[in-house]
Amino acid sequence: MRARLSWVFSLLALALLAACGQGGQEAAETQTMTMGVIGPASGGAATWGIALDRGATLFEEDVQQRGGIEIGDTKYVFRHVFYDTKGDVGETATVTNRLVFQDGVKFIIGNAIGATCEAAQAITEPNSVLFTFVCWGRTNLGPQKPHSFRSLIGPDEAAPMFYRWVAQNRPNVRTLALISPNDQSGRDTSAAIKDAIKNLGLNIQVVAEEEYQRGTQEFTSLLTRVLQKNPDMIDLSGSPTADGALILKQLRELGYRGQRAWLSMLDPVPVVRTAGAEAAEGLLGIQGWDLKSEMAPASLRDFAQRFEQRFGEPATLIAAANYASYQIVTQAMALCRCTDSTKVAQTIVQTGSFDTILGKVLIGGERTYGAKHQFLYPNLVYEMRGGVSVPLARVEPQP
Amino acid sequence: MDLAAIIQGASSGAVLGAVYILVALGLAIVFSLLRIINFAHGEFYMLGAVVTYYLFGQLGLPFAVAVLVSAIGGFVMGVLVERALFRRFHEDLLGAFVLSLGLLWVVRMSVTSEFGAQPQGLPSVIEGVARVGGVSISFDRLMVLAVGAVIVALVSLFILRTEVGRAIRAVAQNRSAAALMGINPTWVTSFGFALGLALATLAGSLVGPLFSVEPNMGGELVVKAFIIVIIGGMGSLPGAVIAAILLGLFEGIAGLYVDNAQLAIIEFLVLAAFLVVRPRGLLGTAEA
Repeated sequence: MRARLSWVFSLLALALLAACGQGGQEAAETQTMTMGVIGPASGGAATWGIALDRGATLFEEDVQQRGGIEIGDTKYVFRHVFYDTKGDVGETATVTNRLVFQDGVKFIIGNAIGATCEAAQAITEPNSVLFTFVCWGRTNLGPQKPHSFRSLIGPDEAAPMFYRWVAQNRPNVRTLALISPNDQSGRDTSAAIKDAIKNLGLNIQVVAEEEYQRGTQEFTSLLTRVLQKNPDMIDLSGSPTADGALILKQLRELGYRGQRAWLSMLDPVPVVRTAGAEAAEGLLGIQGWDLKSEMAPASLRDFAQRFEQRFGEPATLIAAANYASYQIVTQAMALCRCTDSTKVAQTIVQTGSFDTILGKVLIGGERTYGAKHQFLYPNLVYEMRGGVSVPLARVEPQP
Repeated sequence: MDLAAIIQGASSGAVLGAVYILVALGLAIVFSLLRIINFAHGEFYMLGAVVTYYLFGQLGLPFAVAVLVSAIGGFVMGVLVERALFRRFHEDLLGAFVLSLGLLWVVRMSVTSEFGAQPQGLPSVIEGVARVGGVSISFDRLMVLAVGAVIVALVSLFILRTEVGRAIRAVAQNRSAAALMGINPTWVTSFGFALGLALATLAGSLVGPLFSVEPNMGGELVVKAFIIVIIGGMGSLPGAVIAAILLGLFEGIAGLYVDNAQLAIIEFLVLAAFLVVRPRGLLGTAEA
């Protein structure tokens, strides 16, 4: 009898323990993980930094709304600390140090401008901080930078996609002028365009290549120099929004009637606001397309709609790419059931493909950079008409 | 490079020169009266552009009204800033340096928090482009040239021909002697400071439709204005006008051959050469 009672009590105790355990799991606190976001929020490239910040904000709000993301046995919600790099290398080093050593973040989701990414990487890589960015610098990716990922297609991905289309659809473009800032992302963009033309064997000759200091306001003399070469097309290459808009405005004032293109143009709204719709008319690009376009994935159209509701301004590809970066990093965390930045980085590379608002994103870039750290997704070639970007064709990246 | 291209470069330089004159004149007036350098001067140029952005770009008021409000606003701010801040730093270079740097940041950050950091554009005031013999210049630029020329003429007449102008020159030359002649140096200084700031806000207002408007736009310009004031001769108004025209034309024409980073290096080398060879500048006095 006593033995039977002991069994009953033991079973009851076990059942109670199990129930408590289960209840404990249900009541487990949701933890908040602090991430870092940096980017230029002032100066000529301010739109980029602001877009990065907003993309991250929207993702965090979405995660909060659905109660967090399960990573191993813990549910996480996210918040981020944003610092303005002012597009300056020194300032970037300062704010990255602050993020890593003061705020203690292990993940930095977002930065723009190649040279500033180099400055940040000098701190993130030795400290194993996972860093995703939209910087266009060629040297931002490589086997020696295992914690770094580019979320936006870079010039080496965009230039072949775009110039193949130009050669097929604008056969009258035989001579080309490139205008870019005199920094790493500017120079890398122009170099990528020249490489793409050469590698694809296109019949386009680069007749002028000009550089300027970011923030320049008067381009008349530089443009006069360019127009002396009679280019069929002028590509504003790696120009940031404010500078490129002024170039378009002043090109129109100088009476240039040839084709204009802007490989790095990401947001047509401030461009049209500054340059005017007439100055932007006919401009070709590959990354400044309307995210609500019918050619865009449904998930991206939905993102664009919610973004506009939340911030009162149209979403840009930079904002979407940063949202997608956050998705990829957190999906990798969930897959590896870990928050260790090195393991998360390895999981991203090993998984190789993620579902995001951009559609299916492939992790590639090994041929170009020697490491699979480039996020790849289709883009749209578009033309500016009446102040809005009109998609012309969907172009696929080379894996 | 053909002749049309050089004329094109010169026309761009002339517009730059007109803007530089307005900003540098204000800086030179302030220096001649107070013997201080106002590092926040460029911020008032930016404020002029921002006011024009709101009045002309957002509220749709006529451009002339926006320019007028900017200039009057600049004058009123000048009176207030001089009275509240700079008056006690007369001839105190270090004190005024610290004060003006502080003012620079306060103005810039205040505008950034309200206006935002993103550059904004303004629509054209007068649509269209004049084309003559392969040279193009927009009507907006012609307007800046014309208004700039009229303002310089009016300021020159004011300084040379009016009682207040004579009083400004007298105080600039010798404050004590001017006071002995019955001139109130305090009032004249306040007026001159306000006039200088009004010229800066006017310049900012005029360039709004040409360039983009942003909180950092005054930073580089104030450096250029210093170069002009030094090359023209510290405190010399005719010297500032000549140096501004020369610098504008130099940038416009040399910009056809070199990029703007090289241009900046050349400008600072010329400045250094002036400081070594002719420290009093083009038209400055030996005492200045």
